[in-house]
Amino acid sequence: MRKILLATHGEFAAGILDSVRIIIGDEEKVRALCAYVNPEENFSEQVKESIEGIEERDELVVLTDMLGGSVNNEFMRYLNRPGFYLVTGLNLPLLIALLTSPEADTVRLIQESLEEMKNQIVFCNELKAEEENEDF
Amino acid sequence: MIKLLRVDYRLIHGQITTSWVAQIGCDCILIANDKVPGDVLRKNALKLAKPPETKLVIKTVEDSIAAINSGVTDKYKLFVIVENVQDARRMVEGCQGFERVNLGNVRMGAKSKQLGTTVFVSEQDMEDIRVMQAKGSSVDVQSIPRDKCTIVKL
Repeated sequence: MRKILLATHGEFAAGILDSVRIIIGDEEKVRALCAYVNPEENFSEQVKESIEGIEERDELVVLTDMLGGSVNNEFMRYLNRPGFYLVTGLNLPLLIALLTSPEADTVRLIQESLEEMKNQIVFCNELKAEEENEDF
Repeated sequence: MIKLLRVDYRLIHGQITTSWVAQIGCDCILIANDKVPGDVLRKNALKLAKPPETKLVIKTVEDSIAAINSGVTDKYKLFVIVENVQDARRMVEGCQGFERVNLGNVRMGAKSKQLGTTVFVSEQDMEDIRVMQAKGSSVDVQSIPRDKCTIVKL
C-alpha cells in the first residue's frame, strides 16, 4: 500500500490536510506530521519511527515544505531506504494530483504530479482569458 | 446527453474540477446563469478555473434551455451547473433529460432549513424542489462524490 506523510514546520501539514478534506474528502492513507509544535517531542525520533514503520511491500511518499529546511533534511538521510520517496515543495495542487491520479507506479505518479502542479503556480494578473465565448 | 445538473453557488471550483468532472465523466460544462454572461471578470475567472480537457459554455438560463432543446448539446456529455435552486427549477421546467439534480453548495439564508453540511434551503427552494421532483427529477444532496448521496424527501 502507498501511504503519504505530510511533514512541515508547524501546523501547515495539518492545515493542508484539512483543505484536502473539503475538496476531495477524507484521506485515510495520508497523515500529517507537524514538526516543532510540541517541544517535548523529538522530531528526529518521529522521522525515524515513520521510516521504520514502512512495512515490506509498502511505500511511503513524504512531502515536506521546503528544500534545505530542517524537516526535509531529517528525511534526506533515509533516501536509500526501499519504498521511501521524498518530495519537497508541498502545495495543494501537488497533493491533490498525487491523491486523484490513477497512476499505479509511484515514481511516475510523482513525476506526473510535479509536472501538473507547475501549471497551477501562476501570476494571475498576467493571464489573459480567451476573448471569445465558447459555444456548442 | 445530460450527465448531471448541479446547484452550486460557487459554480466552478476545486470540488468540481478535481472530483465531479472525473466522477461523472463529462466533456462539457454549461454554466446556466443570468448574471455571469455579462460579467467579464467572473466569466474570465471561470474560464481559467475550468479543467483543461473540458469545454466550457456560459449562457443565460433561457439561452441554455434553448440550446439544449435545439439538440446542439446532444453530442456532449454535459454537466450543467446553476447557482441556485430557482435556476435549477427553470432548467428542469424548460427541458427534458434532467434525471438527477444534485444540491452541492446552497447558501444559508434567513430561516433556511439545513439539508446537508453545505446545503441550506428556503421555503421557496423547497417548493422548487417539489416541482422538480414532480417533473420526474431525482433531487439529492451530495457535496463531493465521496460523500454519501442523500435523496431529498420533503
